[in-house]
Amino acid sequence: MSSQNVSSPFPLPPEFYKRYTDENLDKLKRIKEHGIEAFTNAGDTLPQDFDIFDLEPPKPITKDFYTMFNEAWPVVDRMRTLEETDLQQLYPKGEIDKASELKKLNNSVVFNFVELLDILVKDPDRGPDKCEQIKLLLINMKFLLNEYRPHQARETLQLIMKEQIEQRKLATKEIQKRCNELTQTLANLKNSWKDLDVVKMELDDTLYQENSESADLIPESNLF
Amino acid sequence: MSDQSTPTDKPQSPTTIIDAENDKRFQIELEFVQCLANPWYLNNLAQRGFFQDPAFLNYLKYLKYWQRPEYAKFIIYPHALYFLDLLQNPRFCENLRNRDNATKISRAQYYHWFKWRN
Repeated sequence: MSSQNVSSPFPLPPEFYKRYTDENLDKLKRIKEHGIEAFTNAGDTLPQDFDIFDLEPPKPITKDFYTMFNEAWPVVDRMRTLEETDLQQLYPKGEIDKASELKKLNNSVVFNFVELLDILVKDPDRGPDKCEQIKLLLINMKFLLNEYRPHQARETLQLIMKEQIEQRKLATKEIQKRCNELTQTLANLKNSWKDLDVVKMELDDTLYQENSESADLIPESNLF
Repeated sequence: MSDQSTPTDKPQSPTTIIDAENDKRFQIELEFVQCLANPWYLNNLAQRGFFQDPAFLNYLKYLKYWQRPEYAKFIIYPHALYFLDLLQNPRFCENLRNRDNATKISRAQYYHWFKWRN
């Protein structure tokens, strides 16, 4: 990256982009269509400084961690447990009834708060310890609540999809309504056309009769 | 972008080298494609004339693979994928050179975060 402008706060794009010339992409396309042997037999040369198949996207990372903007991310997205964050887990492990555990924790918080008030009156020095305990309890509650996040996400998605279906149903109804209106209009038009025809035929008849009557008066040779 | 350092342990077999290369490339492109979520970065690219380079435009087209589900799950700045689509339009690229337009986009992005996200 010799051409990097030092004064710019922004990085240059990866150097790979220079490989994506029309020529190279065309070569890759032909190799994929006809195979590499046909390609070299036709007298074409592969690029010297890189493998032509490097023009294809890299495979997604599947193992452990990957780095993004100097932070490590687990490939399989999962929540860290309390112990991984060096905190004591106050609720039992494994399958638990989250709602009742949360209620228990909530009761503990209230109880500890009352105790804190008591301590502040009798022995204020022990106050910070009690605060730490309450903090741990609240963190535990937050962790339990966060385990509901995937559930919440699914519910939200479900709601969105339901809304979309509802919208589509409404749209279909609207279209159906317009279609019916159109059919009605067309039918009306057809009927009025028939009525017109009838009127026209009657008119024609009267005209014909008038003509034939008058034609009798005019000598035949003058008609043409 | 970080300096994309490879893992410190030395790869032993050719396949691990290829894997390491693949993973490095994956991470470089993952970071770059997400840089596109920043209107000021786009403005900077436009001012440096990258959008006049046919190879770079081809590269942007190629980067659309990040919109495939197996890749998109790695993206934490989804605006990047939206801008990637917009960048396929030459007029958008041309207008990015103008700082006022970049400001407008940046503001729109801010209000999107502020209001329309639910």
